[in-house]
Amino acid sequence: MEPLLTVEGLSREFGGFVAVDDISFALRAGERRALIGPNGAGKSTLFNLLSGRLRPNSGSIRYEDREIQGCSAAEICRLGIARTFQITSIFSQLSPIENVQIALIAHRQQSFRILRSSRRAYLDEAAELLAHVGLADKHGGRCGLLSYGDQKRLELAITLAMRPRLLLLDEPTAGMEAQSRRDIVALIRRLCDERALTLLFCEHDMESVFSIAETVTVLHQGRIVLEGPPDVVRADEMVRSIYLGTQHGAAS
Amino acid sequence: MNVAGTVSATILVVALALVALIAPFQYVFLESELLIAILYAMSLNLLMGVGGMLSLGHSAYYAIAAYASSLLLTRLGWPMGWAMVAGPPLAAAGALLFGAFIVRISHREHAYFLMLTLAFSQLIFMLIYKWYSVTRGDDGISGIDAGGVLASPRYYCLFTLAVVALSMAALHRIQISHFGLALQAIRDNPERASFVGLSTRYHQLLAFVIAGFFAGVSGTLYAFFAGTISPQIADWSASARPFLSNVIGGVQSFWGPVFGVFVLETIESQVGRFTEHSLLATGILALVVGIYLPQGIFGLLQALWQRRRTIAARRSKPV
Repeated sequence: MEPLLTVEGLSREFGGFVAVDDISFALRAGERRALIGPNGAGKSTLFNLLSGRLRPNSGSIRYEDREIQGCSAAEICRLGIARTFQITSIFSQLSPIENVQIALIAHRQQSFRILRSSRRAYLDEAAELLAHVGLADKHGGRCGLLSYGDQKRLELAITLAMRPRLLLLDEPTAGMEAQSRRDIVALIRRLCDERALTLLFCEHDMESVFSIAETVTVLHQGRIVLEGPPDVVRADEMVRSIYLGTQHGAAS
Repeated sequence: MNVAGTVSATILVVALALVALIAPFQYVFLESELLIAILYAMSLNLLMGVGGMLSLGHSAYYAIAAYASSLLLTRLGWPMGWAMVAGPPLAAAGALLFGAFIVRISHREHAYFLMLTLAFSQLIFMLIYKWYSVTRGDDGISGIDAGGVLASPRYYCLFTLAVVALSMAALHRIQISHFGLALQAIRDNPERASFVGLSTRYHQLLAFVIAGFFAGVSGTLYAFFAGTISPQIADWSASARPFLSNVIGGVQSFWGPVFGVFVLETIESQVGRFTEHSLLATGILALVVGIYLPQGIFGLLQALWQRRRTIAARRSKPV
């Protein structure tokens, strides 16, 4: 089957420091892949390159039948690639329902309508999406006041409103305690199943990684050092040494 | 707007119309002046409140429209109606031109945003000030007379009331529109906005054009109200007035800037009776509000009212 996303020879450096070094991989439609590696391995940079937040120095990103490495973030969004951020990114002065409404409005390219009221815009659909991520009873109030876990859920609802084919999640369970982490993992699995999403996510929590991913890609110092099913990666000696830092004799 | 809102707005407009028709002339003039200042502040609120873009250069658009309509009337002999209608679109065109440069900076960089908006408005100020052959420089333009029925201050006030009420209804509609919500989203989190597929700059540019247009409506109304205009209406201190009305009244609520206009006017007329340094009082108030009341005075009143209602609701509940 034709891959949904193909990355070839992607590189990006910051003032001499090569954050992403000649990375190539392909993501087939419906795949769920985790990106792991220690801090500074290049995961976030890779995410930023894929989502248009950064431009690569070289290499190509092919999505469906288009080269997207030169596209802006907004253009990439409209093509069906949605992302979340490590530090949850929502419209904190707006209410949860408005957060989802504006994503729906943007997705349908209705955001320049200056006379049509937004109060009831796509209200049912927005409510449905909130219910979907478990925020059925949280429509009003400033969403900046929601709990951390609920903000993460809201960010998921925003991305879903864009009807993505490819979802990029940057540390979806970062900073959560065990129970809400398990809830979010279950939610992500359910969403991917129901909506036939292709998923690429980075994550530090191995329990979450292994319960979501079908494939795991290990990054180290900007390069892919291993790619394979979770079992293989879990058992790999090199991965252990990278994570424990024994390679350099400095356990952190 | 809900039913209660529509009813109270209608009552307010009728009351103001009655004042225009029967009150002594000094109040009729005051009403026209305040209405024009309110629209001026409200147009800036679309940028500052809804869009989160601080601007110290709003006088540029006010002055473009005031001068354009006045010059068309007095120098080219256009009929009053056409001269008036031409003002706001020209202001909007100016906002499109300047806005295209201004929105290239992030609105989160408040200092740069303020400097750039200020710089563009000073450009207009200098243009008006120096281009004597056309604008008459410091001499200003006089003889901008509203003809026909509008020559009567009472009818001009009614006309102003109608235009301002319609403009405010339009601004309210825009604020709650799809576009208004997009603008708020961009204000809150420009990064997330582009990651839902919104082109932040184009939305901000349209906000500039709309705000410029309504500042132009206000400027045109002023020119024909005052009958004479001078370059001072383009100066930076002229931009500070709607800016301070927003800050003092509160940028986040629709009626905040209206409230701010009244506060400024009161300070000027009341403190002005004792000292000529009433600007000092305005400055101190702006400082206090800026530091302690980010939601402005109207925001504070709203919060107090809300609290009273919750307490009352709690009391009335049987324990």
